[in-house]
Amino acid sequence: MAVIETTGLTKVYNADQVPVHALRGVDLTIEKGEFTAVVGPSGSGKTTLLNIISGLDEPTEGRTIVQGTDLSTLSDRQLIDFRLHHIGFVFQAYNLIPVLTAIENVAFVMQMQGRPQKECNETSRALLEEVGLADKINKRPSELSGGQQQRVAVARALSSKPDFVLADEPTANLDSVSSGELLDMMLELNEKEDMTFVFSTHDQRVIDRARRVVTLVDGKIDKDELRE
Amino acid sequence: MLTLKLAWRNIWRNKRRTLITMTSIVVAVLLSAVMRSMQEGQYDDMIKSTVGTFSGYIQVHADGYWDNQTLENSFAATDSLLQTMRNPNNVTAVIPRIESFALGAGKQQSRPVMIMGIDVEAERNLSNPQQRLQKGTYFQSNDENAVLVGRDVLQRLNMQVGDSLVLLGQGFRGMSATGLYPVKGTVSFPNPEMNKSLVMLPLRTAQNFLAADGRLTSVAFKVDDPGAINPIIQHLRTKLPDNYEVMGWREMMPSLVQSIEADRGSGYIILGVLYMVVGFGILGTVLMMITERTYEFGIMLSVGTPRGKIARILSIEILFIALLGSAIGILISLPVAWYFHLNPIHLTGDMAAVTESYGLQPIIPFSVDPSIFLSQAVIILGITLLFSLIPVFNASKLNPVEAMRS
Repeated sequence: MAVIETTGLTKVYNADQVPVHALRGVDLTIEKGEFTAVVGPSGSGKTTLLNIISGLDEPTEGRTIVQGTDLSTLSDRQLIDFRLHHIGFVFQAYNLIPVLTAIENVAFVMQMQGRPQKECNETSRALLEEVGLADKINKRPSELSGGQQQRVAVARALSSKPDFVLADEPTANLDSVSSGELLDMMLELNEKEDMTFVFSTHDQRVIDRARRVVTLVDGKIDKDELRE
Repeated sequence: MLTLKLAWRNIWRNKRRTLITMTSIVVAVLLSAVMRSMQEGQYDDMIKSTVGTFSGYIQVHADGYWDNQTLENSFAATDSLLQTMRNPNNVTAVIPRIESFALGAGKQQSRPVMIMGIDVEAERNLSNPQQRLQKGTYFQSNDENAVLVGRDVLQRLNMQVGDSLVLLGQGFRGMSATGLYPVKGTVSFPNPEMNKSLVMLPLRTAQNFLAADGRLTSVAFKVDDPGAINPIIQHLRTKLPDNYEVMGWREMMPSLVQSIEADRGSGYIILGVLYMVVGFGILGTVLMMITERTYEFGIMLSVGTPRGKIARILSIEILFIALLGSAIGILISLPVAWYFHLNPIHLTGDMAAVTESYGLQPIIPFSVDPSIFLSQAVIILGITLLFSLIPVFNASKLNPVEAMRS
């Protein structure tokens, strides 16, 4: 079953002045359990595509259906709620709330979902153990390295039991060792938990390990290759 | 709980900014509370000087006396009537008086004077002439044949204590009123007009002089709590016959009330400016708090934090700062006001002369009425929240994508 399905996605910025075509009719289907990299040069529309898939941005034309829900039919409040329950996010950097500890950051999304405090604590602790940060649960983001912060972000993304995780250039600010470790961890979660990952990147080491690579050029899908 | 935790930790993210904001609130509460305390202290003193030490907070007269103050509008003071007046709770003393005007004459000069017949014992509770004596001695009884005069009367009549004062006037029902009374002493009142013209006589002596035996023009009341005179007025109006008027000091002295209100109004204008300065200071801080954290709000919105939650977190942060600032402001302003309540500022030179010319003591006493401090803290708190509304609203309406681009 398709987790994400986009049809004719078009995004034009500054339509009234000097139009910038970020996406030009993107049709993309992501199946459950895929580990997909969206790649392309700067300005090719990777981040715009991810923003539209997650309901953070609206397409100028086209539709996005996530788990059978057409995002264009949802109000702002419904979209926020939809993201809370269906999508996990990992951003490039500064993902975490600086005043909360690692465990509190992971529990944050679950608390927004209204899950009991005990469950939030137990799940957060387990997720942090899973991402290799059992000894850092009470550290604030400023006390963690960039790689550790991204791991906490992944744990937070998973904590809401999402349908898929969207990661916008998750390794962009990491050194090669931290990038490798983060990618290993994401691949492990993908294999063990059948979690769907969609991430944008232009880091060749990450692209090499993706199972599906969608290449965007000038807002259009130039190549879509599946790898064994 | 999470909201409170986040808000509390957020305000200490930038300690210096939080402390500066809090300090501006503390200073605003301190200035506004101390200023109001000084104003209200002065008003209390004005009221006490004029009302609490002379006219009394309530007076009972024969109906129509206040508009037409003649002996024809006096009333017969029966024991049962005075007993009815003594009955209400909160009344500590009733002070009977008979007042009129006459011509006072010395050896070479004559001047119009104000005649005031006082109950020698009861009057100690209100104007207390004995305590105000400058020269001479106080009356021994209500039928003593002597007068006490305002401190400037003797000079105006070219007389001395021990000389005889001739009083000429008109008594009750047009009777001729004439008398010769030795001056037993001089008294000093805060009001310069009284010092120039007041002649005090023991009650029965005055009634004899005015041919108004057993009659009074007013009964003044001393009360425990000047703020709670309305129930007494209502009680007296119910219990006394219709041909009596019961008046509170506000009715009797509208000019005093108006001058207090006018001064209070000008004080509010100054406070208004202070409030605006504080408000815009807070606005700047809140805008800075929000601008610094726009990216963070973008992340929070992206991961599914409801917009209302973000607004709540920000509002509670501001509330924490405002509450702490206001509380500290009260804690500092109370002892300041208390000190000046116990040790009023003494005016000197021209300022003192001007104050005395209005019949007031040349001091600035401070009020320690808790409602002054509480109300200023609440107003500053309200202003802080009011000036935070728009930025908080804007923050909750952020577009997550644009916020994360910031």
